[in-house]
Amino acid sequence: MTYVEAEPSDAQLIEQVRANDLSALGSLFDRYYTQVYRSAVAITQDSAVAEDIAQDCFLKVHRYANRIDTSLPLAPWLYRVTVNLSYTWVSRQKKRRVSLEAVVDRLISPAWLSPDHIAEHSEIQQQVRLAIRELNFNQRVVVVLHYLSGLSLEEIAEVLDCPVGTIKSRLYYARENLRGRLGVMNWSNEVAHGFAR
Amino acid sequence: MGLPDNQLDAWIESALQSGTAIPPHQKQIVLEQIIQQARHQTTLPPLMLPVENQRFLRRAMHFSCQIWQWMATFAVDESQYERARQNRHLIRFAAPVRDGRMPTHMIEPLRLNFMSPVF
Repeated sequence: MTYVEAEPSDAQLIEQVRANDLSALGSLFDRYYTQVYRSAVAITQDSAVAEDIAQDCFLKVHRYANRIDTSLPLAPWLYRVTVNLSYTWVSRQKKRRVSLEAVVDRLISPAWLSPDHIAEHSEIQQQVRLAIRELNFNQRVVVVLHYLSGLSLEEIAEVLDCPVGTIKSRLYYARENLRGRLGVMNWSNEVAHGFAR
Repeated sequence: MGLPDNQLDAWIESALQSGTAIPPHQKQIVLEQIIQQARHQTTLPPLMLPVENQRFLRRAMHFSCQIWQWMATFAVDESQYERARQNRHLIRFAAPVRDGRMPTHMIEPLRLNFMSPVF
C-alpha cells in the first residue's frame, strides 16, 4: 500500500520561507512561475524583461514572507506584484520614448517568439499581439489577467484594488478597441482574398 | 459587420497563450538565480501595529467619520430652503426693454448662489 503525500499548501510553504527554507521558495516557484512569467510577457511584450520581473516577484515573496497574509490565497498577491513591476517598467519605457521600429523589432525578435512557437506563429496572432500592445496599460492588464490568467472580474478587481465596475468598463473598452483594430484587419483580409479569387 | 464575440475571444486567447513557452532549462536557470539572490537577502520583519495604536487609530477614524457625516448632513440639508420655497412670496420685478414695454417678472427666493440665473 502506498501513501501519497499531500502537497503543502501555499500558506505552509510561506511559513517555511519565513523560516528561511529556500526549497519552499523553489516549490512556490514551480507552482507559480509559469503564470507570473506569462502575465509579465503579455503585459510588457518583452520576454527578457518578463524574466526579470518574474525573478523580482519571487525575490519579493522571500523578502516579504513575514508580511504576506497567509489566510488569503497567494496568487492575487503575485499578480499584484507582477502588475506593479510591469507598470514600473512600462512607465520607464514611455519616458525613453521607444521608437515604433524598436517596438516592431522586439515583437518579431527571437526573444519574443520562442523557437518552440515560431512554427505556430501566424499573421493573426501577430496582429492581435500588436493590437493588445496598442492598448493602454490599464486595459492591457485587464485583458491579460482575464484571458491569459483566467481570472474573473471580481478577482481582477481584488488584484488591482479597483471596483468591479471599473474592471468591467476597462475590459469592455479594451475589447471594443481590439474589435475595431482586428475588424479592420479581418475586413481587409477578406477583401484581399476576394480580389485574389 | 463587426468581429463576432467568440472569434474575438478566441483570437485574444490564442495570441496570449502562444509565444510564452518557457524551456525547462531556462526555468532551472532562473530558479538557481533566485535561490542564489535569496541567500544574500534578508527577510523583512512582520509589520505589526501595537494594540494601543490600533485602538487609537480606530477611535480616531470613528471620530473623524462622525464629524464628516455631520458636516455632510449640514452641507446637503435643503429642508430650510425647501420650506422657504414652498411658502414663497414671489417678488414682482418690472424692467424696461428696448421697444419701450415694461414686462413684469416674478423673482423666486434667492439661494446663496449669486451666479445662478434668476429668471
